[in-house]
Amino acid sequence: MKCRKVTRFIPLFAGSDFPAETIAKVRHHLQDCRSCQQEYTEYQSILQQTREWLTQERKDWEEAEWKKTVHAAIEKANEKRSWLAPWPFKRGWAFVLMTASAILLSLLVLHPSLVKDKMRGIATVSADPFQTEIVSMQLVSKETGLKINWFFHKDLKLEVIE
Amino acid sequence: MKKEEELINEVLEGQNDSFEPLLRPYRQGILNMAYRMTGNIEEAKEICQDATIKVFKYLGSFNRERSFKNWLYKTVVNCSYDFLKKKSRYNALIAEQKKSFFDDSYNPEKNYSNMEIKEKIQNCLRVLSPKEKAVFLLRDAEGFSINEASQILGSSSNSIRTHLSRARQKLRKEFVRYSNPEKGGMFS
Repeated sequence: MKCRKVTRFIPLFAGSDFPAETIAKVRHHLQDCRSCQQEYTEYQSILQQTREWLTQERKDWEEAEWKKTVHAAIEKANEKRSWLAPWPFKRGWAFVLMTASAILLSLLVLHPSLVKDKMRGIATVSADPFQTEIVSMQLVSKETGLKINWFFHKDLKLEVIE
Repeated sequence: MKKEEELINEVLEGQNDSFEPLLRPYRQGILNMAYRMTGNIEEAKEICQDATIKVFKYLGSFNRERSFKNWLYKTVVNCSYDFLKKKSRYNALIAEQKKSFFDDSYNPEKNYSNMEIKEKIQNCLRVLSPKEKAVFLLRDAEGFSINEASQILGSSSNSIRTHLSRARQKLRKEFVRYSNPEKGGMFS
């Protein structure tokens, strides 16, 4: 095995993370090659220092904080499980709103005539000029000169018959 | 003391009080994993809470034939990735961590040689990619084997070895650069 190849393996070999089947070859090379052996020793020393430091310098929870975190997590997880909070809404009222909108929308699509009729009725009443502007009307015959006065109540609906 | 299996069953039956004892043995490990992934203790606690929520929520779908510890760490690592992504910190990570990485208030009584090691390891962690960092921390800080790390990260053993090798090479570079920048070697 050549130095170039062994150098690639050394970082893993130094941390005992090398596949067993190749260990013998690398070990054999290290016995003969001084520079590779030096690099191997360097890696071993660095890894040992690093592992020691990472083991010593460990953060920990304060007891109360840890328990609070776990309980808060349980509460949040349960909140998300609730049937009142279906995706993508967080609250039940949003679900109700969504259902009402869906019903209204489906009515519009399935029975458009129902809505149109109602709209037309509203338009007729409000657009009727007689109901609001004309209270009385006089008809004069050209031939006889007869005058007929028609009085309309304000709220009376006038139907035009052709 | 109850076994892990019993505690899982109790939680699934609705006994929420059994959840805390289930996580207790790993509480320090997951906190340190998240802490060294982000470099900030408050963010690490936030990640741990997210992971705890997910573990509680999806405990029913956990495969009992596998290790609960590995599954828990997997959740923490994934939450750390999500956290880093969410904050768009992949690009800004190096610049930001120069200020925030590892607050110095912790353990102030350490000696100078310890401070040097700390500096080197911190510098190394700053330059590692999230995947390299996760592999390095799982193997060299938490003591997982290559196979366990491959299960946790969902990668092949060869991929784990490649990332671990790269991480250690960067660590050595950092040690060399820090120890003797002119000669280029700490042992020369």
